[in-house]
Formats: sequence, C-alpha cells, structure tokens
Amino acid sequence: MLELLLEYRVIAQRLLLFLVVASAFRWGAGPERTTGLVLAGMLFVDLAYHAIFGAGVRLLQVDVGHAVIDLAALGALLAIGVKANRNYTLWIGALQILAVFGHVARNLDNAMSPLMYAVIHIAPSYAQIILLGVGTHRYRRRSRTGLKYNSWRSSSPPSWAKGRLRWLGV
Amino acid sequence: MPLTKRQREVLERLDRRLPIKVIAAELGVSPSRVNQHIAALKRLTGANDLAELVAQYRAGKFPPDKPPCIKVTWTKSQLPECGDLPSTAGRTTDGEIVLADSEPIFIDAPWADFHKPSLVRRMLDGSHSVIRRLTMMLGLAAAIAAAILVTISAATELGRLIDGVAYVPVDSTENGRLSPGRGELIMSERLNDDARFIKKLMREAEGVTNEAMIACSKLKQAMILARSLPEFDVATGQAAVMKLTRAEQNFVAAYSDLLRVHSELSDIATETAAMDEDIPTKIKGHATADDRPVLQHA
Repeated sequence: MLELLLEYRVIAQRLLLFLVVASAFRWGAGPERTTGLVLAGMLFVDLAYHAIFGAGVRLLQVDVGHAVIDLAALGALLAIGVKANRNYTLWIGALQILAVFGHVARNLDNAMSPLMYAVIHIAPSYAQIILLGVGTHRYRRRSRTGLKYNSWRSSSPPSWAKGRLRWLGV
Repeated sequence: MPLTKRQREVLERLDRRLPIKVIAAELGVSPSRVNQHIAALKRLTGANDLAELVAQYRAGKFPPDKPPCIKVTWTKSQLPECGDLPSTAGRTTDGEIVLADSEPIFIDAPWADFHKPSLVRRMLDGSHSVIRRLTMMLGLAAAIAAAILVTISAATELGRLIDGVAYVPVDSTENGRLSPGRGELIMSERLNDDARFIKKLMREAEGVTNEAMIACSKLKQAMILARSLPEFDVATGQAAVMKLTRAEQNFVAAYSDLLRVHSELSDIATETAAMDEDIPTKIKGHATADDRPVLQHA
C-alpha cells in the first residue's frame, strides 16, 4: 500500500491538488480560493519550467528554477497569512518558509544529503495541500452552522479616540 | 404671544449666538430672509436689538406652543399633559469648548458597530498583527524543522542501534531488475530503468577485462612452463613473455580506468537519486590513483 502510494505519488498529488482546489473554489471563501490559486499556480509554473528547461530535479546544487518558484509562492502565501482571518494559512506560510530555507541551506552546506534536500523542499507542498483541504472543510462546517466570519482580518476595534472624534463631529 | 415655526427656529439659533449667515445656511434660506424674520420678531416684542430679543426669549416670554394633543376619554392626573418637558436642545455649538461639570464619554455599545467574530486569536488580530503573524509563521517553521530533525536523528540512531541485531532484507537483483525500494523516492521509472541497464553493462565491461587479465596470465604461465623443459634454450621466447606482460599491464590499466568510470557513474546516480543498490559504490582512492601502468618505462 505504502509502496503503491510512493510509486504513484506524483499523480496522487496532482489529483489531490485538483480536488482540494476545486472544493476550495466551490465551498471556500476568499482565503481558501486565493491559497488554492497559489498552490495550483505553483504546479502550473513548475510544469512549464520542466517543459521549457527539461525534466529532472537537481539535488546536489541549488535548484534555481524551483527556488524562484518557491520564493514567489512564499511572498503570496505570507501575504495571505498576514491578511486572512484564518489559522491554517499561518501553517501553510510556515511550510513555505521551510521550503525556501531548504534552498538556502542547500546553498550554504555542500555536504547536505540530496535526499534531505528533496524532502525539505518537496514534502511541504503535500502538507500544504492537505492543510488547505482541512481548512476548507472546517470553514464549510462552520458556515453551515450559520456563523458568519470575515474572510480577511478586520482593522483594529473601534477605539475610545474614534468615539471622541465622532462626538466632536469630525 | 404666538410665533410662527420659522420665527421660533430663528430665535432659537440667535440664542445660540449663531451668525446670521449660518442661521440662513442651516434653515436653507437666504440671509435677507432671516433678517426679515428678525425684523418681524423685533416688531412683535418691541425689542431694540438682538441682545434684548434673546433676553426676552430666555426670560420665557415665548413659551413653546402646546402641540395638539389627542383627547382621550381617560386621563392620568399624576402625569403632566404633553409638551411641558424642558427643551433638550444644547446651547453650545458643535466643537465649542465650554466649562462643564460633567464629561460626556462615548463608548461604543457592543451592538452599535457590529463586527463579525474573529477566528484567529486576539493577539494575532489587533494592532501589530502583521509583525506578530510573521513571527508566528517563522516560529511554526522552526518548530516543524525541529520536529523533522528530531524524527530523522531518532530514526538514524535507532537504525544504528538495530544494526547488527536485526536483519533488514534488501532484495537486490532479481532477474536483472531491482524491486522498488527506498532509493526510488525521487525518480521516474524511466530513469531507474536506464540506471539499471547502465549498471549491467558496467559489470559486463569489468568482467570482460578481468577475463582478459586471467587469459594473459594463463598464457604466460603456459609459455614459461613450456620453456622450462631442458630441450629449450633458457632465453627462448623471452621477448614474447615481455610483450605479453606489457599487454597484461595494459589490461590492468584498462581495469583501473573502468573503476574510475564506475565511480563517476555512481556519483551521477547519487545526484539524480537513481538507486545503486541503495549504497553508492565507493572506489577506494589507491585503486585509481596510478594513472599509467608501472611497466610503461620498461
């Protein structure tokens, strides 16, 4: 079972990504959709990269193409994590930080084992997909109970100063 | 003394010391119209100027009209009829600072400015939330990395402990094919097939060279045994033996070159994560250190 899963993990990952992103667009709100868009975009840019520059993953040096893709995704996921009114986006952002740090560590440490490099910059994407799926499911379950939540972080709560200003007619 | 609605409105604003232009703007009429109202008021009251007019107003010379009440069949004698409550209109203009014995503090009622509930913790949703969330994400990343590190080192240590005690079978070549194992983690099937094929050919080349060396030494043995018979001259075929030895040396050199090839292929296999029986072949340095055969100069 495990070996079967390992053998078909690429197909399994794409299938899972498709299902998760589709459900995020069907049942999720802003953060779910945006995160799904970023994850799907990573896959498509990756496919385009392999189609243009040839297949293969470099493990003995920094894989520049994948490092650039991961860095761009880091920017987007950090922005989502900062703005969203969700908890799981923080975990997704953290995993992306880990992937980018993997590239940095590969660059700094030549003795890093190729397997470790592969695990640290490829494995987070699996966890991110699963996290998005769980996040969408939880959002759907909450919204079914009738509770309404903001998609994005609200600004600071109304302050004493604001009330004072309103009284002054400003 | 009955006043019209407009006259009363003008008078009330005069009491608040509003300029005529402001009164006109508030009532939506022209300043000259306000002046006409003021002239009418002066005529009614006999006041000479605005201060006198206002003084009369404050003295209560113009009680508010009683609004038309609905006559009911029953009355409550303990309650005043309507309209006797004191006016609540403020006497200070907006923004004017006055001394007062009370300080109005406006506090938003929870329902006045309704906010949908926040999912994240309060700490991550107020002021400084950007820096706090970034820190949170960095912390989570560090925690995940630490967890991975601990897991891997624990697994490695366990493996070292088990090593020599337990036996983990690694079934390698089976009809020339390797069963899928750990090394295949990041490989396509095609690449793995290529790696296996190259390895097979590598082994064949090494085997052929070994056989050539054995053949040479058998030939030399046979030749030397043959000339040891008393019928032959002691120097018989010495030149042939020397040439044969040179040929043998060349085969040894060829074998060294093959080992170097094997070593480089093994490195490539590690780089592309192709399996090399899960363990990269290590060719020891001295096996490939000598570049040319010793007898080159002989």
